Amino acid sequence: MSHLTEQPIDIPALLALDRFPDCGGLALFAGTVRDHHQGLAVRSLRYTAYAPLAERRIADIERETCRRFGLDYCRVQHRIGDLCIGDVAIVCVARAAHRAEAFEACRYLIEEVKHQAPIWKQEFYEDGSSAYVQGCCIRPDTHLDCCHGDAR
Amino acid sequence: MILHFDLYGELEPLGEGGRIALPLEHRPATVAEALALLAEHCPPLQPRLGRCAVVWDTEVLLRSAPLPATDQLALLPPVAGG
Repeated sequence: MSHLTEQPIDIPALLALDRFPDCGGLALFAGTVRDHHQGLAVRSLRYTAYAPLAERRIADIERETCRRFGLDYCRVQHRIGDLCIGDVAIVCVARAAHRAEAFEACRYLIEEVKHQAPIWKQEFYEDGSSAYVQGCCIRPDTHLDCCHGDAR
Repeated sequence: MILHFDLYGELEPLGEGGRIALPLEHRPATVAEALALLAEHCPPLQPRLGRCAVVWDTEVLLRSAPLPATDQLALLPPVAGG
């Protein structure tokens, strides 16, 4: 299953409920398109990506998350293309033996994807204008404080 | 030779069809040298280059790295997924 999709995210398929019987905790984060940003009324969003690196980085983040939190399973899928208010833009799933590590792993997944995956969000506003959300610099050789805007 | 830069995110409108073709008399030795020539060729890019990653396929290149044996690089501005 690809980490990027132009289709609505199939959340039940990501949960893998028919596997990992040793897991008693399942944490899920779903990011949805909200109707405002920094005081502006948002009408819709467009996500674009540099797919080869986004796929690789999200896979690396999943592997690191499993290693760091001792999980057997976690998964991230991100929508690409035009989305409407309320659409699910990203889903992160972490399954663990207990809830604490499931919650922590899920938080780690979304933060890492927001900071590392080459994906861009263009907002279209009710007044007809549009703008790209300012984010995080992924240059490996800079010490600048490069995160802005919606990177929280 | 021509070195192509594929532009992403907010950079995309700065090129034709999201791409800039940089004509070169001599092949730059490093990524930094290629970017300096790109900034001369496309001045609107200059103030944004400091926050951009330069990528060859799935490899994010250091500015000090030798220019890889390719005629196509990607220029990635700050990311904002999620």
